[in-house]
Amino acid sequence: MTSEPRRIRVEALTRVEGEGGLYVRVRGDQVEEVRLEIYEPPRLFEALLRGRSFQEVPDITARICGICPVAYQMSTVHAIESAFGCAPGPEIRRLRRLLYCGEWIESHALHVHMLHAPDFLGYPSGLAMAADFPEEIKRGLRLKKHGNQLLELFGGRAVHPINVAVGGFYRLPDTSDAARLIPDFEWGLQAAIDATRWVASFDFADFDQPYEFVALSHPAEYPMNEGRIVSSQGMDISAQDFAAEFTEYQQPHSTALFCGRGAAQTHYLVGPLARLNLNLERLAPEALRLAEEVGVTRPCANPYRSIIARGLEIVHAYAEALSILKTYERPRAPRIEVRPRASSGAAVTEAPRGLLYHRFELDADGLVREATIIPPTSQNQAQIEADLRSLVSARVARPDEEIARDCERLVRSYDPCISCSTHFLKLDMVRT
Amino acid sequence: MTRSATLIVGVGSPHGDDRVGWRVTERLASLVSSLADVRTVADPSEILDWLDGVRTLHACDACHFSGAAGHVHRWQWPDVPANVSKTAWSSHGVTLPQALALAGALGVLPDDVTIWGIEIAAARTAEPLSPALEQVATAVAEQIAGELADA
Repeated sequence: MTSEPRRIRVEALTRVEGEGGLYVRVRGDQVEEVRLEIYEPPRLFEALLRGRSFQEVPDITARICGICPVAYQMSTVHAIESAFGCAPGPEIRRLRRLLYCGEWIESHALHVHMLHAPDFLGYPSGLAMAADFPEEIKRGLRLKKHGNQLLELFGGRAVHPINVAVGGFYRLPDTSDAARLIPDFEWGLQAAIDATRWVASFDFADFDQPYEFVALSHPAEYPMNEGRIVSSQGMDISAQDFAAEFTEYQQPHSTALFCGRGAAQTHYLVGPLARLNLNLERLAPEALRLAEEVGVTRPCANPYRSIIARGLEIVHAYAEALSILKTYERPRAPRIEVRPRASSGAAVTEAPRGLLYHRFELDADGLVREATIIPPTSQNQAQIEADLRSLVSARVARPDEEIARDCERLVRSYDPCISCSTHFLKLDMVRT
Repeated sequence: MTRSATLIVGVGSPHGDDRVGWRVTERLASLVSSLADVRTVADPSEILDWLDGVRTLHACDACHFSGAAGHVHRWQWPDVPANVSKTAWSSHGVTLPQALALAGALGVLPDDVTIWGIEIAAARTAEPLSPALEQVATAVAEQIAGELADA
């Protein structure tokens, strides 16, 4: 006998960035279809970059995202510098990491406290949680502010920074201005440790998944700007080989392209949990001690525990930012000279939400001929759908409302940035 | 820590008529310097940083709610139309009503909060404030200054 299928739909996901929904179809106890529906209009950044000067590109790609603009700028400048065969020295390199620390702090602090914690504590929103957890909410906002302050000082402004240049920075702050941040960041380091202890005390549903983790890995540091792309299944490639290993593909229900690995286009996980699993021992000592204290063991393959990974990365970012701020002296030159040449280059950096790939082809005048941008949420889409299928299969006997709520919580654990990911426009033309 | 019991905040961005909240506070800075603290923000959640000791808050922001461009709404918080405060939270920031609601939930919101919502038609990147909105900003600034002087 064929029964009528149950259809569970979440029209608009809340507490995620951008516009997306969920669709689940179940027949009997079989999950027939699961779709993460991304219906936000495509933004076509890759096309509008064509013909633009390399000097304009970091400011344009920063516009892709209001919460992770530094990631876009970092992948951009590294890809273009790779094409031009130039490498800024260690001072610039450290300051780029400092800027990235600011972005990780502001992005993770907001997600942990305002967007994700309410799921564990039974509140519909951070706002609803505020009356019962005022100190935690205030802490989250203060940590976010510290991240913004770092972006303002070294990026020129807190949202869509304008101080990142191919070759370095346009100008760098005085040593005294950087030193003024130190007391706040010392408070922030302890507050981030407290926040991580707090989220590690939450109840986590058993939901380990057979992930292939994919992240950058660097022999000497927790990855942000540099390293090789590695996976928990042994992949180890350079950023230049990304396009040979990963393939974008379309699904009709999403305006964001999917991305698969290898010939089979298998799904994989990027983001804090993947970074932590592949780079745990490279955390700053403060974060590594804390990871041990709160019981992080590898593999940590429960997506809900990503809130702990974000907490540890906030601690790491504070520790590293403090180390750089305490030794900061304004470099004599904010950037190196860059000479365009006809070439192509690719780079991968670690956005708060995971691996962010950029590739540019440029002409001899430094004008963009082709651009490819693959954000982390695009890469996680197929994994999110696989997780949802697994979740619904395990809860198929539950009421629809409960399944819908649990699915939404699962998606939120990825901290997806849907607006970043949309760049696919499917055109169906019918001629009569 | 603020030095005054009255805080005036202009919310906005550098994009065309979305700048109008900032322009109100720019006009006010010289008019009320001894009577109030005056700030401009792009992210309304920053308001929470300055509420210590504040008893009266005026927040000026562009809006696209109802009425022609230049129309000024004056709302006494929390009596604001439901669809003004209904936008969902995201990781990309909060609106002015959300920031005020959060301040209320945290117990740090002053008792006396006035929102000045100034209707705009559009906010175009890299354009200056339109002449019509310049006049509205001046009028709103003078009204706030007058009320503070009479208080």
